[in-house]
Amino acid sequence: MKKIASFATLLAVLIVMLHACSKDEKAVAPPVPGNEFLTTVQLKVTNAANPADVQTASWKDLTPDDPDGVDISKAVLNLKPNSTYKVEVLFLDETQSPAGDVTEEIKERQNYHLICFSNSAGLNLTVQRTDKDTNTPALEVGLEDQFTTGPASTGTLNLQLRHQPNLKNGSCEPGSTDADVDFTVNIK
Amino acid sequence: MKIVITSLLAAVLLTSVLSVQAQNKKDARSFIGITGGLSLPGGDYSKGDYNNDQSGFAKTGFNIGVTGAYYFKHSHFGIGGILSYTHYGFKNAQGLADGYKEAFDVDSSTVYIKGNNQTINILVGPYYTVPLGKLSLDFRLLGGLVNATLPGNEVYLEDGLDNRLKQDKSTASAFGWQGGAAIRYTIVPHIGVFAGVDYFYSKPNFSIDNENRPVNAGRKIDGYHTAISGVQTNLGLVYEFGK
Repeated sequence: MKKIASFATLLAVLIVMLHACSKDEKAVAPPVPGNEFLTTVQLKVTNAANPADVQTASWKDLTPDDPDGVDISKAVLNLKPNSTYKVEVLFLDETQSPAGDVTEEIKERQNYHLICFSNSAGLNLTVQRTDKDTNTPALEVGLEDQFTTGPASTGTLNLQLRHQPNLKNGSCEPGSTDADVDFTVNIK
Repeated sequence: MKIVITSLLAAVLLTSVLSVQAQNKKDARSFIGITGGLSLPGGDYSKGDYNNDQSGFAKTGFNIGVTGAYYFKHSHFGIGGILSYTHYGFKNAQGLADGYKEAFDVDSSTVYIKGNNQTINILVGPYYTVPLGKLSLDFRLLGGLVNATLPGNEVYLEDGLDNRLKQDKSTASAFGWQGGAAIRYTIVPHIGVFAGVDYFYSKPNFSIDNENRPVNAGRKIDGYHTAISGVQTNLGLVYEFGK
């Protein structure tokens, strides 16, 4: 009886000790090759004063491994001075046929994506993002924007798609860059 | 599952009650002992689905404990209890890692599971025994306190700085119960062994803290109120009182 009682007491102590112990388990989800590409960035610009005044600028790189493969021949916007434009940013994967719509994916994952714009010096263009995500509080996304032009000028508009997983805070700094492209903007 | 177990228990109980009427009345033997065996969780608690917020990620584990019962004089009824610890493995940590990777659209993610699914159970309740010579059939229905722990996790997205999100380990207590039956066999005077099976149930209400979750994306569990239930099998060694 004494032996069993002692053993039972030891077991009770063991139970408490086991309850307090823990061992970490680790699992890794590694990179998977063959993710889709983002080959094309488009700006679809509509004049707020004239909905028929629509133009699309397109930056394209179908060969990401070839630095000379970028096609910027259509990455040009010709805007009127002192005007307001409604802008849509579109992302495509043109390695597929028909082209894959990456924009919809980014919209689904808007809570950790942000599109950042910056002008070269002298370009009289103001960019304002007009869409917001579903974070709390809601943060801007940039798939929909408003361009406001000033007096005539020419320069470069840089667009970056920032990927900010669990990092998005409204600024462009955190995260990594999914796309970094330049458009020539002529205001005349 | 519940219906099957309940039906089995009822059938065994009925058979035993009928058989005991046919045999000579004999005093039940009170006992104290140690017990251990497999714990097989069921329901959502045993699921490892990233997209199901009720998933408990518990897989088959073990239980150990001390148990005993005191049978009233000239009666087959008694009162007893158990103090036990149940430990479950973690099911599908890889599924969590894959889920977070997909949810945040990152190249890779690493998940560390912090702690274990486990419970400490302090249960008491009525026992009924059918003595059959060296054999006894013990039936019990116990209720009491269940203190449960839900493991936490740390998720690292890619290799970004400060890109770690965390679900803290949490504990909660609730009323729980278990019911089952065991066959006890006296090997030598006062020493016996038993084998049994029980169904267990509790439903603690966990409140879970999360750290570094600035954006609304990925699996995030703020609370967990799902039944911890299943079947456990036990083997044990007992000291029996009386003649």
